[in-house]
Formats: sequence, C-alpha cells, structure tokens
Amino acid sequence: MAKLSFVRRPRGVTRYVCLGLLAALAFLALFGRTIWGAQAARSDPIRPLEPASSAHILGTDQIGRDVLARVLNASLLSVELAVMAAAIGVVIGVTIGVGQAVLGPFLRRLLASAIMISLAFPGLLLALLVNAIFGAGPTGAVLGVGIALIPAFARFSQALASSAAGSEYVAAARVLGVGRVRIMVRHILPNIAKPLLLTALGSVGTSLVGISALSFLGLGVQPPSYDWGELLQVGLQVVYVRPMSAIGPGVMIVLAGLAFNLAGEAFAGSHPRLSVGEFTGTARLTRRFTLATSRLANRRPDRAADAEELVASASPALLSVRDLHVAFPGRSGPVVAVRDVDLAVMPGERLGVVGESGSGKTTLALALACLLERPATWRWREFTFDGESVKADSQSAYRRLFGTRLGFVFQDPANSLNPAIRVGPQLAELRQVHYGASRAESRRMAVDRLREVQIPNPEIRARQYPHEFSGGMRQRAMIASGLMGSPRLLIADEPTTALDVTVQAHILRLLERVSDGTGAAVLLISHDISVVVSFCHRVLVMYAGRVVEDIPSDWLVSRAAHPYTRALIQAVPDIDDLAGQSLATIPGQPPNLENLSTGCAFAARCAFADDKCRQDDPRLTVLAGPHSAACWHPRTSDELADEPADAATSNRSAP
Amino acid sequence: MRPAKVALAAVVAWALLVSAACSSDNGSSGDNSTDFASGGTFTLLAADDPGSLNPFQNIQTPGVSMFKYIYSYLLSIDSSGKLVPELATSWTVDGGTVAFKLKPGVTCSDGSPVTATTIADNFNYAKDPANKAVQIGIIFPDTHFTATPDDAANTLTVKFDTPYGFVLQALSLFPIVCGAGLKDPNTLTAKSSGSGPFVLTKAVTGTEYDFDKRAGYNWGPNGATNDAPGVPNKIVEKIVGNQSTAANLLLSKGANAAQINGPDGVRLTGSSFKSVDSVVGGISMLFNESPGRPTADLAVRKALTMVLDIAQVSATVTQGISKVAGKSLTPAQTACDDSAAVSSIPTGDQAAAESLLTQAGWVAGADGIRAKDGKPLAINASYLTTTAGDAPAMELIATAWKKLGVKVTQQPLDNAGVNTAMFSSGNYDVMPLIELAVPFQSILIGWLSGPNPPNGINTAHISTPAYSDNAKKAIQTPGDAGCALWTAAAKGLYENADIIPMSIMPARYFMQKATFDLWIGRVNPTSIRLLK
Amino acid sequence: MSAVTGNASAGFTTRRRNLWPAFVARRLLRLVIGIVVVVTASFLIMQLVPGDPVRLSLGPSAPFSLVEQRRADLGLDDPLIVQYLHYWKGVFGGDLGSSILTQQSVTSIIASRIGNTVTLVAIALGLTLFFSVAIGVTVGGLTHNGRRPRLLGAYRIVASTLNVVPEYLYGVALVVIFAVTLKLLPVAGDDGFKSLILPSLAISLAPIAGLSRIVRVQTEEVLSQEYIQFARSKRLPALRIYLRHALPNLLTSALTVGGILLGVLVASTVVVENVFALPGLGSTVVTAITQRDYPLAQGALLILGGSVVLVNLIIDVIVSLLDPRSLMRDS
Repeated sequence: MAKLSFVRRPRGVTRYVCLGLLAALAFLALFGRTIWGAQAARSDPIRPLEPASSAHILGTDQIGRDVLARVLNASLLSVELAVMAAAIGVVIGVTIGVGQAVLGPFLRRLLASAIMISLAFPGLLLALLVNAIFGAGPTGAVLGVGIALIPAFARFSQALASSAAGSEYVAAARVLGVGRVRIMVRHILPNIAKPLLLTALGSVGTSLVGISALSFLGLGVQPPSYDWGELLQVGLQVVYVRPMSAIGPGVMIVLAGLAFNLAGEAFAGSHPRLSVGEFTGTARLTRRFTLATSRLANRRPDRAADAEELVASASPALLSVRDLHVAFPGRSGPVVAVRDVDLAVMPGERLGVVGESGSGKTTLALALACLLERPATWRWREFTFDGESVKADSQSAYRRLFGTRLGFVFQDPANSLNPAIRVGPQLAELRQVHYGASRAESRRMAVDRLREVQIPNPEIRARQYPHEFSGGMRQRAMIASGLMGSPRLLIADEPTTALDVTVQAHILRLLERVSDGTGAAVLLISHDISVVVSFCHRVLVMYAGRVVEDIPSDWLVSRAAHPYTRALIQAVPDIDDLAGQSLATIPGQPPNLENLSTGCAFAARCAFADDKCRQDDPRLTVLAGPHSAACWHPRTSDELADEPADAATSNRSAP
Repeated sequence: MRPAKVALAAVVAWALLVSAACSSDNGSSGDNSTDFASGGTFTLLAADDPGSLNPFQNIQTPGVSMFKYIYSYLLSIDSSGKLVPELATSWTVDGGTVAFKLKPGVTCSDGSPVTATTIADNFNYAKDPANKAVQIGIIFPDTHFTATPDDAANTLTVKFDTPYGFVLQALSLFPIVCGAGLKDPNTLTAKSSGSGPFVLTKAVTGTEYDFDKRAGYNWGPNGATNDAPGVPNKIVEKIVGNQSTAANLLLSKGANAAQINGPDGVRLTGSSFKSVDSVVGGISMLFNESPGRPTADLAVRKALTMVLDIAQVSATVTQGISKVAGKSLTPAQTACDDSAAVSSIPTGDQAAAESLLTQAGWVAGADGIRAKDGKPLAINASYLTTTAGDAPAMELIATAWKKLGVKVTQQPLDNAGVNTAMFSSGNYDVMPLIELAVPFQSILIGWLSGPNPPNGINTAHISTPAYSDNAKKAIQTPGDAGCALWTAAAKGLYENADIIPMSIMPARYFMQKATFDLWIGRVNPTSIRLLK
Repeated sequence: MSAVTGNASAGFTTRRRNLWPAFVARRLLRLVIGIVVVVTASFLIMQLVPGDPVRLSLGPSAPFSLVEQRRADLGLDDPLIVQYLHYWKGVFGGDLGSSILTQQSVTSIIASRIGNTVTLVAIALGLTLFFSVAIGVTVGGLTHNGRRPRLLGAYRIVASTLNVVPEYLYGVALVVIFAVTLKLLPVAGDDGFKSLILPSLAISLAPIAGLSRIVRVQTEEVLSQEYIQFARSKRLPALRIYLRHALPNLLTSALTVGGILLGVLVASTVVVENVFALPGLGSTVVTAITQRDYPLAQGALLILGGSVVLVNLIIDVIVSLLDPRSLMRDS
C-alpha cells in the first residue's frame, strides 16, 4: 500500500552551514596559535578591562590582554579537550555497549541494568566527582566529562548492537561457531559504525559545553592555560561591566557546539522514508498467488444479472464523480496519479478496482473518500455522494456526511487500529462524535457491531488492545468500525492483502453479508483480480492512473477487451497449471508516472500496439451496454475465443 | 564561581581580624543630620556562610563577625582603632594581670543576669582541654590563665602566667556566652544565647540568618544602645556567593549592604549608593625553605623579590582598590604598626637581581633557564583559584620571574589544595599571594618559626633568629616597647626574604538607605542605622 | 467450517496474563540496586578525593594533636569497610552523619535545601515536557508530509542553536533581561515562588529545544501511521486526532527521553543555583565536594542520585501504562 508520506528536505542548507562552521573551527584550531598567539600574550596591566574599541574589538582583560585574540587562540585547546573527552566516552562506552550484546543472557541483563542506572545519574555530578579526585584542571575536566558520557554511549551502542545482533547474519555466524569477539568486530561493528560515528561527532559538541560548565565553576582549565570555558568564566565575572568579555567566548562555545551537533544530522544519510511509494518507477508488478481460492471460473452465476440490473436501473448513483484528477509534487514537476476518471457507484453495488502497484487505485480510493492531504492536489468537475454535491476545496464541511455514511476499511490491520487505545472505544467514538451518543450507548453499539462481524466474546474483546487481536479479527473489527455509522458506501482498500489465504475468504464473505444486510455499496480495491471477480458485480481496471476498462465481473474472463486486462487475467496461475510450469508475467516495466510518454500508457508493453496507440491516448468508450474500454484496438469476443489461454502475453518467464 | 573571598581568610584562615578603618568614612553613627528610618529591616549580603554557631569552635571571620551581633565582649575596638569599654567599664593592666570593673545590669537574652561569674565561666570553659576550644593557641597563647570573679564588687581579674602583649586585643575577640548556652555550648548549633544587641531567630545554613533587636539593650561598646534612632528591628543576612548577583540585588533594592570588591562596583554609582573601604588583612609572599628546594637559597629569594613590581601586583590582586605595595604582614593590626620594617625588603633592578643569581651559582643554560650544579631553577608557585584577582596577579609575577631565567610552574589550588600543600605534601616552592587575616602578629609565631610539621606548624621551614628571638620577647611585652620588638621581628623576616608583604586584603562595602561602619572588615552591628 | 471460523481466536487465550506484578518487581529490584550503587559509589569516591576536611575546618594554626583527635572522633581513620558499614547503618536509621565543617546534622542541612531543588527540577521537568510536546507536535503537524519546508529548516537551526547554549549563559541572560533591566522578577535569593521562575527557565530552555526536535520527528512518524489515516477516515475533529490518537503514541518516547533528561536537569541545577544564589542541593554538593565535607557530600549525592533513580522508575511505570505493548515486550 502506498505510504503517502512525502518528504522533501532542504538538506543542502544544513550541510553547508555545518561544513562551513567545521571548516572555520579547523582553521582556528590549526592556525590560531600561529596567527594570534603573540598578540594574545601581550599584557598591559596598567590598563586593565578596557571596553570594546577599534584597537581591541572585544576589549581587554584584567591585565590588559586583548580578549578577541585570546578567544581565537583558545580554539585549539578547547577543541582538543572536547575531542579527548568525547573519545573517552565513545571508546569505553561503545566497548561496553557492543560487548554486552555478545555476552550471555544473564551478564547481558546485568550490564544492561547497570547502564540504565548510570544513565539516570546526573552527568555533571559525575564529572564533578571525578574532577575532585584529580584536582582542578584539564585532566580532571576531560576525564570527568568523558566518564559522564560513557553510559549514554553504552546505551546507544547497546541498542544498535542488539538490533544488529538479532539479525540473521549474526545468527548464522553464531551457528557456524564464530567466536564472540570476532562476531563483534567483524559483523556488528561495521554495521553500526555510521550512526555511531555521527553520534560521536555530536558528542564532541556536548563535551565542549560540559567542559565549559566545569570551567564556569572554576574547575576546568586553569591559568595560565585558557580555553573558551576559562575565558567565559573570567568574562562572566565582569559581564555586567564588560559584556564583550563573556559574549566572545560564549558565542564561540555555542557555534562550535552547534557545528558538531549539526554534523550528526547533516550527514546522516537518507531516511528510508522518501519515495511516494507508488511513484518511484521501480515498483514491479507484485502479485500474491491466490492458490487455493477462487479461480476465475468460480463465480456466482447471478452476478452479471445483478450488474446489468444495477446499471440499468433508474435509481440515481450513490456516488458519482466526473473528471477526477489527482497529482503529487514530484522531483521535477507534478506527477499525475489519477487522471480523467469518471466513476459511478450504484446503491448496493459491489464495485471492484483492479490494477498493479502504481496504477492509482489507492489514490483513487482516498480521493473518493476525501481523505487526501496536501501536498497532493486534486480536482473534479462533479462529485455527488448520497445526493449531496461535494466541493473539492472544502472537505471539512462534509464531515458529518462522510463520517456517518461512508466507511473506509484500510489494508493493513496490523497498523490501522491505534495500538494505544482499546478496540471498543476506537469504534465507539464515531458514534459519540457524529451522533452525540453517550459513552455507554456507543460502547454497547460497538459491542453489537463486533458481534455482527462474528468476533466471539465481543464484550471482552472490546476492552482489549489491538495487539491482542489476530490479523483476521482486526480486519473484522475494522469492518465493524465502518458499520458504526449508517454507511451507504464502504470503501475497502486491499482488505485481504495482508491476511492469510484462509482468512481472506472469510473476510470477503463477511463483506458480502454486510453489503447484502445493510444495502451498502462496496468499493473494493485490489491488485488480485481473482478476488475482485468473485466478490464484485462490476470491475474497473486501472492502469497508469486511468480507468482502462469498466466491465461486469461475469464478463471479465470471457469478454475483457483491453489487452492489459487480458494480460492480468492470464497472469493468474491456475492451480492446475502450476506443476512444472513457469509463471506468467507481463513484459516490460510499469509506467514511470513522472515521465509518461504520449499516447496510450500501455503501448510499450502491448502486443497489439501500433502508431496510433503510441500517439493518441484512447478515452474510455462504451463497447456494449455496461462494458467500456479505453483502447484503440479492443479485443473482440471472436478474437478471444480463438486465442489460446496464454496468447495475450508474449512470454512466460522461467521459474 | 567564588568572588574575592576577602575576609574568609581562605587557606590560612585565621580569620580573626581587627579592622583598621581608613578612608571614606561616611554616614557613621555620629552623623545627626540625616533622616533615620525607625524600626525597619536591614538586609545584608554575605559571601560565605558563618559556619558553626558555637563560639568556642569557630574562629573564621564570617562566624566571628556574626558573633558580634549576638554576644557581648569585655571591650571593643571602634572604627578608629581605639579600645572602648563594653561589658567592662574600665580596666588596668599590670604585667600579666588585667583587672576589669564590670557594668551592672547586663542580662542575657533569656533574662538571666550576666555576672562576673558568668564571664569567668567563659574563660574556664575555654581553658579546659576537654573542650578543645579553638581560641587556645590563637588568641590566647595557651591555657595558662585564670579568671577570678567578684560578683559583689562586680569585678573580674584575669591573670596570665606570662604577660601577654595583646591581651586587650584578644579579649575584644572573645565573645561572652551566657544563659543556657554556657552550660553546654555544643547545643549552639542553630540558636544564640548571649547578651548582644540582637538575638538570632532563624538560621538556615548557607542561606539566611535572621536577627531580632534585643529590647532594652544599652550596654554596647562605648555605651551604644538599641534606643538610638535608626536601629533596625530586624536584620536579615543572606548568603550570596556571587558578587555580580550581590550587585544585582543591590541594584534591584533587594538589600541594604554587600561587600563588592570587583568590577561590579562600577555599576553601583549614583547618589543612592555609598561605599566604605577597610583593610581586612594582608597578602604576602611566602617562600618554602625546606632543604633541597631552590627557594632555600637566600639569593634566589632575594632575586625573586627584587624583580617584582609589587605595586602593580597589588593593583591587580586587589582589582584596583589598592595601588600601592603592601606595608605589613598584618596591616589590619591596630595595636602595633610595624610598617617601618618595609625598608628591609630587598630591592633592586633587573640587573641587580640577575647578578645576584649568577653570583650564587645559578647560571643560565642554553634554553635560558638558570641552573646550579645541574639542578634547574624551577619554581612551583601555588595560588588560590577562589580569589578573583589572584590569577591575573600570578601571571604578572610569573612573567617577571620568567624574565630572570626561572622556570615557573603555576599551580592553581582551592582551599583544600593549599592546606594539603602546606601541611601534608609540603609540595610548593612559593605561595606568592597568601591571604593573612590575623588580628595581631603573635598568632604567626608558630607558623614563622619553631618546629616543622608534623611536630609544629612551621610549614615553610623558616629559621630566622632575628624574628624568633624578637617575637618571643615581644609577645610578653605590652605597649610601645612590645611594638618596637615586633617591628624588629618583621625586619628580620624581610631581610631574610622569608615572607614579603605584597598588598592589603581590602573590603569594600556598598550601602543604600543605611549607614554603618566596619569591624574586622565586616559590618559592625551596633553602628547600623537605617535611613529613609 | 467451524474450525475455520474458530480460527479467528486460535492461538490467543482470552484470559490475559497479569504482567504487572512481575514488571513492578523487576523495576523495584532495579531501584534497590540503583540506590546501593549510588551509595557505594559516593562513599568510595569521597574517599578517593584528596584533602583533609578536619584540617580545613580547624585552620592551619590548629596543632596537629587536635587535628588527629578530631579525625579519630569522626572515625576518619577506621578501616574503610568499617566506615562503609557504619554509613549504611546510618542510612537505615535516617542518620547521615554531621557536617564536619558546621557540625549540623547532614539530614537537617539536606532537608532545608532539598525543597528548592525539588521544586526547581519539578517545574523544569514540567516545563520541558509540556513545551517540548506542544512545540514538537505543532511544528510536526505543520510540516508533516513535506509541507512548509522552510519552516522546518528554520525550526531545525533555531532549535539546534538553542540546544547548545549552556544553562549558565541562559541564567545570566535571563537575569540581565528580566531582573536587572525590566525588573520584573527577583534577581536572586529565595523569595518564594517568584524566585524559581527564572532559574527553572534557565534550566529548561536547552532541553526544550532538544526534546521538541525529538517529539517533532516522532510526530512526523506517528502522523504517517495508518491509524491516523483511520482516525481521519472517521472524520474526527483535528484536535481530537492529535490529543487522543496521536499523543499517546508520542508520549512514550517523549517520556523516556524526559527521564534521561531528568539527570541533565538535576545537573543543571548545580550551575544555575550558583548564578541565582538559590540555596539548593546542587550547590550544596559542589560546596561539600570542594570543602571535602565527606558526610555532607555523601548525603547530598545519595539523595540526588537516589531521587533520579526513583523518578526514572516512576516514568517507566507511566510509560508502560501509556503503551500497553511495552509490558509484553519487557517480559
């Protein structure tokens, strides 16, 4: 299912700022002494504490030395000390943290507890103690801050190492009898190196600030040496009279700390959450093999009649939309996810939408449910739901309408129910918010609905948390939630994809019963054509954001006209076919929506495409009654009858 | 961050001082023309906590200065350095014996009368070795004294087995405990039991101490009473360690008085603020003469002294308050002024110092550092980190010495560190900026002469007969004769460059809507007057 | 057929195992171990710190015999293990010894100081958690899904910078602005509640900046979850979605980090108490350490360290209440 989280970060800015600061810091550290060393030492005790002037930009100190020169000159020592302290914390902390990941369980727990306890202890106090033992001065300060860093790094590397140690390659190494230390060095360390290094870099900033705090208390670097902390401490003694003496070193501490802290994230590398799932252009045709269940031939006989009846009936469409258009911002201009879609759902109808990943079916579902969010953009010429006309730009006005009369069933029940809230209240709140029902009343109703979807012991279940439900039960609960209002339409986005095959059938049957029982229409999204055929009255086939075929499900196998539809049908393996045979695929790649060519989007993969196909984009045209297709050369029933079962695709790939 | 811990006699914390009030004296109790506010609260900011409230266990300046609020004394020293009567109306000194006539009608804060016996019991308590009273060895040279009361005649006779030259000054620092507290002074952890002008009502360590005016008090120094206009009903002393914070509090009218030696004083300008200075003690340079150290060599000590611009060091270490070189080890002393001894301090220019070293065999090597018999002239100089002016002054000193070809290692230490260096490890060559806040020279005898640790406290291994002989005689000689001996003793020290005065330890107090004068560098309680 | 429908509940017992007792027991054990470690560590470390408190309190002129006698009285020359056991005995009896410098009982000194520090840290923790969550969620909501990228960039840089500034600099700046210039709040000292405002701000500003960034990232995560889509599909009002649906899932990580921040906050009080002349446990520790006042330093460290461990325990419990899955994960 498409994870429509869109992130476009101005990564560049942070990186440049950080690099700039670090470069300046390095320059100061390496060359500061040479350039400003002499000036910094020049004292003038007759004229102490001069204010800022052109001769002394930050003024002078208690024996007349130029403050700016001293601040710049202190760079090397300040950075050095911070690096040393961070090094102590990192090296020892990481050794402990990683080491315990390869220890036996008892020792590991012990060490973990020790780390958690020491983590809680205030770092500065620890630093103070160490400092007190070693006396005031840089040794004590570095050791103090370094030791105070150890618990944090132990914890951090422990967490990293644990997840690495739990991974399969380590398990494999263990099984092969590889020694503990070797595992640690060769398997775990390289994999945690990068986040660790970046955090280490960030901790240099923390050390810098920590050492300056010790200096503020007079316990850090002592005269005649001076680092920024010491200069700051001296400067703060006169801050009300000569603020520049404190501002100078203070600004340096903040900038240096900032540089190191930013480094951590500026170079963290991409988070995995980038692409708008469907639109990367690398998504491949994904299918699950629906082995034991519905074969295409296995369908209810009266489905077609229902469909015709529904279409022919004079009753107005429950949901009707014209010229639906949805786009997302892409790397180079907007990417159109859904285009020129006209769609109507009749009351009580079960309409299926099929297509591969990236075809736009989920986006369509969200658009119809008015659940899209910025930065997506959408528009339509007309949208009517249950008699009301819905405008594209003011969706919040239809809160009550959609809240009570449209139910949405999400794909992945594992994550669709809020893990922090019990199941009962999650269902009940719809009643409370939209119907003003009392808590007791709505809870009762929720329990009823749970019973309706055949969850045993619904009173007890309602008080449980989602993680205590199995996958099938969660999906039932999700359907129950959709029933809490008085839905006229249920939109189900891949409701069975994440479930066991055996459970799938039950869920579909439940949906059927619900639909029959309440008279609600169902819009079922799926990539699995066999599911759609057995369940729906009518099927829409989507490709590259457009509806390419609209056909009653009964006619699908025998009369599907669009070559893509035919290919989909043939790609479904029959259980009889499996023995010794290879799997069918549709040749070529799914279309890259950022870069659509002119003409029919399927042309590149179509065995029947010609120049006209490649130049002109076909529109959806009626072929016969309830059947339409968007194709210049729709397959006719005669052609289909002559075809061997696997002719639409030109190849079968080797197993 | 600790401020100029002036009066908290940091390391060598003999915080008994007598203030030689000097300079800008304004708004003292003699000023009748100002408008006194009646019955308010006087808020004072102190840098350090007083410590133990048991007068027999506390001789640090913050504690001693607080005792003056709560307890009475046989006699006092006023702001001009004169001895004035208090519990004793008059006295006569004859050799080692002092006869006091006592003031009648003095009562303790619990109502009980303060009789001659009460006063004598204080002496007896201090004298008993089981009580380990801290006055012994410091303000009283030993326990060889007796106090004989006569309640009927209201007199008290104190007899020292050997005459004690500073007996009167010592008694001005000996608080008289009375009432229940005298029976067991160890209970005096959070309360007072005395006959002083104020009674302690609240004591929160490190935070705040509150006092209420003692009604009916009229036996103060020189007859001071609590009926005078402007005497506050209540005194609140808050402990504020940070000088900038103290200045902020003054500026925001949260306090009447604070000691601010540093540059924050510059912010306290304007007609609402007045300031008064006083000397709390002296800052001196002490050389460690234990055998094997370069500073055991007289030539080295002299050269190191000669080459310093002591006036400049003084200006830096006092943050500008005093710009002249120190004139005495104990400049706060009022009884005997030994500043005439400074003529014996070794002087000379750079060239003279250099030739002195060369002639003594300290010859500069290729790296510029002098050495003798293969041993380099390496000096370990310790100084306090808690006094603001010390670090820059130390840098000045180090620079001057480096020019001589001396290898200087600056050793910053806190209080505990200095104590350790002096008494345990002996690991220092010179302490150029030692703070000495002592009331009279006799206290220094054990430190500047006599046995070395662990048998004594002559930590610097000084053995200068010109000092020890004169001092031993002086301690038993009261009056001008004794003072002349002290001056001769000081001369002996300076000639031998054992210890050299560098500067004074100043105390600069700022006040608003109040006036007072200073005693041992702290606010003198009976002089406090609130102004409108 | 019935086997298949019954499948819905197969593998799950409907009777819930009560995981609480084991959880609480484990946490209490950790607390006890933590306190033992803190006590032992502070005891040992004070022994390692060089310097003689008795000499320091008596001054250099006191004769050696007196110093030795005092040391013996205080038991400072007993073997280490004896002193250690004696200390534990005192801890259980509520007697933490007496300050070497003022002879006051350590318990009473700590009792008089602890109020300020506890209040200060509590206010700071409250401010930190509240503002971090408020700011983090707000910015997260506003910049979710790539919206307003400039706001996000600016927020990042500002928050990073504010996070780096040391608390004593904040303290000084706050005093200059609010106390000295604007005269709105007290400069220093202990004037009741008003005196705690600036110090607690000084302590919390940097942690707020840091924690709010973490909360923002978590918000971004949470808002992308399917269950938020689900909540939106129920057309719940936005505020309800944030508070009832998103917040509980955010709070667990915010609280956990908050617990770690507690140590940072307590440490900050040490420095800030100095700037504001606020008498508290933090400054007591520093003074006690520099003056080598062993009993006082040990007592203060014990209380400080123990409290932090205790509060972390409480936070652990709260987190597990908020996130029922963590109980299972923990066992």
